[in-house]
Parts: sequence; structure tokens; C-alpha cells
Amino acid sequence: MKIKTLLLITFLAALVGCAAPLQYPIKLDTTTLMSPDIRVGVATSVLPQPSLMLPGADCLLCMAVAASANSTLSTHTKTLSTAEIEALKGEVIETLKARGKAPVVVADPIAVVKLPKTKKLGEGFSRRDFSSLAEQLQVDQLLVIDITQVGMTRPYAAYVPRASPQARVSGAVYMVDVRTNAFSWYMPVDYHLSAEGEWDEPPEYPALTNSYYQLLEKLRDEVLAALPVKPKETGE
Amino acid sequence: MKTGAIIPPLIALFFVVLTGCSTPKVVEDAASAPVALPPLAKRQVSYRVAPLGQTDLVFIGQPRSSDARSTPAGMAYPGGDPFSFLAAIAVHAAIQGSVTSAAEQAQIEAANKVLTPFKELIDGLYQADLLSANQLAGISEKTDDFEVGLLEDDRLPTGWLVQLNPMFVMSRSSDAITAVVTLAINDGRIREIEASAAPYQKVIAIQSQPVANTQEWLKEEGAKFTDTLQHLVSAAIELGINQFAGLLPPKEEASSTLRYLENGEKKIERGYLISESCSALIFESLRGELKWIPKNGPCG
Repeated sequence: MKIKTLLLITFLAALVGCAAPLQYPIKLDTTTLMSPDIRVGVATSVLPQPSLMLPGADCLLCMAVAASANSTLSTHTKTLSTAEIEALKGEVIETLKARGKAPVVVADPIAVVKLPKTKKLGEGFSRRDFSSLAEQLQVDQLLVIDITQVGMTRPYAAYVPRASPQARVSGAVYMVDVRTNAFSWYMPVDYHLSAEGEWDEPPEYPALTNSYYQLLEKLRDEVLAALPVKPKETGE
Repeated sequence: MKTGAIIPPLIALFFVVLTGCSTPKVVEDAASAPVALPPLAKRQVSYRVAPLGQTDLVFIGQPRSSDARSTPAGMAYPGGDPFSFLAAIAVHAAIQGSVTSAAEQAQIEAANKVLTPFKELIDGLYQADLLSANQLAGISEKTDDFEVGLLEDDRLPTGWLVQLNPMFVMSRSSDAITAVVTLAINDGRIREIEASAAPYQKVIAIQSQPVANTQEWLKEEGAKFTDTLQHLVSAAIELGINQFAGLLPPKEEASSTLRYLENGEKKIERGYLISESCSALIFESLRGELKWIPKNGPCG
């Protein structure tokens, strides 16, 4: 009996250990961002190729059936653009410049998932170690538009679709201290949007395509809205 | 009679029959042969617009975007055995179908509530009231590239024939009306043209300038309301002919994100930009509709 209890506790502990801690949103520290002594770099992560995700179609045959049933949508999804995310980086840079901050432009996207993992830093800290970039980029803080999934998603229950497809954009936008890996801003991004009206209009799927770009616009609006507002000019 | 003597007449008869069966050569009558019409020019030519009928206006309220659009939807099915799994799906599909159609009906009814203050005005108008010779003359006055007039009798025109079918959408905030006009332009010299063969067929959506106060629609017995509908119909005809005649810039090859105001809020739509100025945004939507949206940017 005791062995069973012990095994159960060990199993539960292992499960808890496996679960990634959820990073809650952190409001942008505008003092740090706008401090003239702090060099801030602006970057995007390596952007994913837009794709159709079919969560719930887990078995091999289910995956094949679901992929086949949604092949036209999948093909179309791959043609969607992520240029708006790259353009957002430029808009962030221009906005900061307009507010009097001269950010460092990080030209190449950062492969965040290839950075080494941090150990036991907990909530409020990045799970990836950015310290290797401090010297390379000559920055103190790095503002990263880190979008990890873009495209469409359609939930499945084995072989059967559970709902209509939705556009999806997920990831996070954050500002991280490249030496301590502490976040001074963390904005989780997990946007879903259904088509307005009919969705099943192959091969171009106009309604779903609009939803996808509406999500990118939402991302743009929320990121730019989080940046400090232009100080009021005095008329003296 | 010898058998040999019968054969030559039989052969002769056979050839006679053959000749009789062959299709006689017809000398083509020049008058009855189909005449290849020379192609009509699209500019420096007249366009005749078929009058609208004495039929009621088709007017709807703008449907509200579903609040559930951003909610990941889903339903978990019991998976104990295949039969209960399939039964659950069937039951869910049946319930969902009836719920969806009821929800859609409720949504339409809710959207149409915005029309209540204008019901009397709408009921008092026929489609024919929205299109006059004077309006079309106004289009002609603006350009030297073509002339537009109303088709005044049943005879088909020698130029282009323009046919349209308008419907109207009142915005959710009642500040603007959008005319959604299906417009076709055909060679008036050809009596029967299949719809799919029309040289130009387009859905044109034109949004009116928003009013600051929705009561403006009702002033002077709804004069602004009626004027706006007439203006939207004229503008759709003008825009359609301009595009058909190649007087609009070509649409951009790649789609882009276009931003404009709707119901006083920012609206995002992906489309192919045709032109953008301080006064209007013109683009082709992903569905191929030609859209004209007013802008209030600073001009000059």
C-alpha cells in the first residue's frame, strides 16, 4: 500500500515537474525602455512558416484523414504572408525614435528556440538565455517580437472536426534584460479569430484570410499601444 | 433476264441514291449569315443604363460580427466506444444545425432593428426612384471619355448596355449606408448574352459619407436619405464604367492590409489597392468586389 502511495506521489511530482510555468503578462517598464543609459535592441524571432494546425487529430491515421480533408486550406495557408510582423519591427523602431529613443536595430531574426535554456529562474524570467547576445548586439535590453505560430487551426476529435477553422497567431512580445534574463515587459499573444460569415470558400478562403490579417493588425495595435506615448509639447 | 444485265442498273440506282443522300451544297445567303460585329470601343462611346423597376428596395441592417469569433470553439465527444462516439457527433450536428440557423435568424432580425426609424422612408421608395436621366447626365458632364444615359425604350442600344441590381445596407451605428450593386455591362447590339459571358460583371460596394447625427437622415421628409441612395447608385454606375473603360488605375498585383473607418471604428480588410486619396479608398476585395470607401483625410 505504502509503495503504491509512494509511486503515485512520485508520478504526480514528475508530472508537475514537466509542466512549464506559465508566464503572466508584465507591464512594459517604460522607465527602463526610455532611459538614455540603456541600449535597447529591437528584433523579431525567426518567424514560422504559416501553417494549418489540426490539434486533436493525434493518431497517424487521424492525422492523414484530417490533413487530406483540409489539404486545400493547408495549401492556401502556406501562401499567407508574415511580412506584417517584420514591418511591425520597423514601426516599433520608428515609434521609439519619435519618442526620443534611439534603438539598436537587430537586422537578423533571432533563433530564440536555439538559445540555451535558463535554469530555475522562475516567473518573471526568460526560459531562454539571451546573455550570449549582449556582446554581439551591444545592447542591455532586447525587445523581441517572438511569434511562434501563425496560420490557421482547426480542432479535431480523432477523425472528426470539432469546429470550423480559425486564424491563429501566437507567441509573445517581450523586453528582456540580456544579462539577467529578467523580463521588463511580457505580452503573451494567443489570438484566434473565426471567419466573418462563411469560411469554406476554397481556394482563396477570403473570410479566413481576412481574419488572419486582422489578427496581425491586432498584434500591431497592441504592441504599438503598449509603447510610451509621445510627451506633450509645451508651447513655450 | 440475265443476272448480269440487272447489275449495271442497280449500280446506277445505288449511285443515284448516294447522290440523293448527300447533303446538297448550300449557296450561302449573305443576308442570313451571322455577321461578325466589330468590337465596341469602351471610350468615346455611349452607355445606356436599363431603368430600375417599380420594385421595393432591398434594405438590410449590417450584421453584427459574432462576439464568439475570437473564442476557440470546440466540443468534446465521449469516446468510450465507436457507436457512442458517432452517436454523439450525430446528435451534436443536429443540435448545432438547428441552433446555428436559429442564431442566424436572430442575428438578421437583430441587425434589421437599425432600420426601424427609416421603415416609412424605405417603404415609400421604389428602385425606379433611385435612377433618373438627370443623374446619368451628371456623370456624363464629368468626363469626355463616355456618355451615359437612361435606356428609354425597349430597343437595345447600339453601344453598351448597363444593367444593375442594387441593395442597401445600413451601418450598425446608422451613420452610413452602403450600396451593394451587382452591375453588368454588355454589348447592346447582341440580344442574348449569357450572364457568364458579360464583358464586365462586378459587385460594387459604395459606402456613403457618414453623418454626424443619424437624425440627419430623417430631416426634410428624408431628403438626405433619398439623395444618398440616388448618389450611391450613380456612383456605382460611374465607378463600374470607369473600371470597364480602363479609366481606373489597375489593381495592385499583391494584396495588402487596408484600413478604413466603419461605424466610427477602424476596420481591417485585405484587398488589392486600386487607388487611395484624401477623399476615397478604392480597392478590390479578396472576393473580387470593387469597393469605394470615403475618407476624411486632409486634402492638399
